[in-house]
Amino acid sequence: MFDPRDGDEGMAYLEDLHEAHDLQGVKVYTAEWRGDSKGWRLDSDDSFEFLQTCVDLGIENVHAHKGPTIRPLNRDAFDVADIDDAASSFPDLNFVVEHVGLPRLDDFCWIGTQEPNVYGGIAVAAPFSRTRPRKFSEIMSELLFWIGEDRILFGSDYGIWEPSWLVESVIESELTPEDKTEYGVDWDLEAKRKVMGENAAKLYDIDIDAKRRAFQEDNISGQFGLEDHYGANDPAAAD
Amino acid sequence: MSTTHETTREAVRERLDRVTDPELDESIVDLNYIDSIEFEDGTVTVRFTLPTAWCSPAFAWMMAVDARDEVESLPSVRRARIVLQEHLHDEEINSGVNDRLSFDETFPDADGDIDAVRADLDEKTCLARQYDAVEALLEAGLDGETIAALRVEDVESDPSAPEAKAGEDRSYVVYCQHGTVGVSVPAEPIDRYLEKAHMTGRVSDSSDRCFTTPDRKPIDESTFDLVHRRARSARINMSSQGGICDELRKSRERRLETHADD
Repeated sequence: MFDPRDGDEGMAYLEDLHEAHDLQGVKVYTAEWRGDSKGWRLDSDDSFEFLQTCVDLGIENVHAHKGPTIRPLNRDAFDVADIDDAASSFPDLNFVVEHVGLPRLDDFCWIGTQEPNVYGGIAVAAPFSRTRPRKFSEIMSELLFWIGEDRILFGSDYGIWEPSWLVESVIESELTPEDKTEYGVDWDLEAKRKVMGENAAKLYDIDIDAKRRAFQEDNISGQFGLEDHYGANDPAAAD
Repeated sequence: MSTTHETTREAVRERLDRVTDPELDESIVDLNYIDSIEFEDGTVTVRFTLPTAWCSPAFAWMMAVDARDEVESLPSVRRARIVLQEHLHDEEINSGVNDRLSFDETFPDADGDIDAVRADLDEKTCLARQYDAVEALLEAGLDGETIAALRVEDVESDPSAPEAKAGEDRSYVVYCQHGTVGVSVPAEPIDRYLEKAHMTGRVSDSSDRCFTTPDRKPIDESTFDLVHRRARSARINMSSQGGICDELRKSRERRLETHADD
């Protein structure tokens, strides 16, 4: 995480973190209030300095939290418009807009069509697959239509619940026949593989097969009997 | 309760029905936000609750102010008192709205410009309504080229059209192909769109084109599809947010019911 309002100290902290953990991604909260500040924009000069540092250090993925508005009285800090300029100014970085900008899905999709390095994380939208399948179908159709299956990333919101039900529910979700016809997009197994892991693996240079083999043999798998879970070639079911 | 009050209660609800949740473009009556309407000596007290205590204070403010102004527009009402319940900022909002303060005065620590927020939301609402209106026109058999070229006078109320009978859905006759073909279109989505388009200044004159791009530029045959898809995004965004709010509201009601059972 970085926050340009931390200035030089924040920059040093980012460099220390990178030194210690070899960071490949950062999360940023543009809407956070602090002191007199009511948030910050990714396309500001201060932010650009931090983004340039990310480029220099090889931190390629910037996850911007752009989700439902809660406390901020002014919505601007949740606006997704600042992604646009940041993404075109830093073509080597990937910008993952978490929560697909809901309730700015329309703005997000439009920016995403123009900036090839903008991705959408579907945390917060994903639970619709269980409670409102038709609504989920609409949101996925919009995303697949505008930005495509290669730039959508699953998000589990694991901070607020144990997410295995959510994995299952998204895997089992389908587009409604009406949406399929209207949008002309597919939400098939191939698209789901990408969204559920392959797209993220690509951003983070993760070899899924190598990880699978490593997990299959590790202590935790031994302890909980998960060897078969990581053994199959099909996408692992969440159980 | 006296008969006068019965009548007024209906009138108050009718006024409140005109107040929308600005993010969802739905009536606060239809959204079940209204808890009670009470009368006392020409003062009407409206109590309402939002889907969560954390609903945007700016949106809560807009609804409270709009409810106050709509109810006070009734000649029989001397004063409206608005009580937002169970909200993170209910005290500030209630005293601000009822003491006729501005948003800035009520929330000195906010960056303020609530009118700009409202204008943004109105633009989105207008675009979402454009989607519904254009869908109705497409459904009626008009093509993109024709729809892009429509002017306000082509679709607004046709005085020669027969009045709809009670219970019958009103419709307009839209003439195209140089006035040689008349197509019947449901009036409601067209009216809803034009109301907002007038309000936001997207259209002002009866010779203006009905529909524009999100940036208010003219549409032609080649851009029609793209603009309609962008309008669809605005509609989906709005209804998705509505879905989130609705789930929150249901969960809140369940909690309140559990408390009531205690």
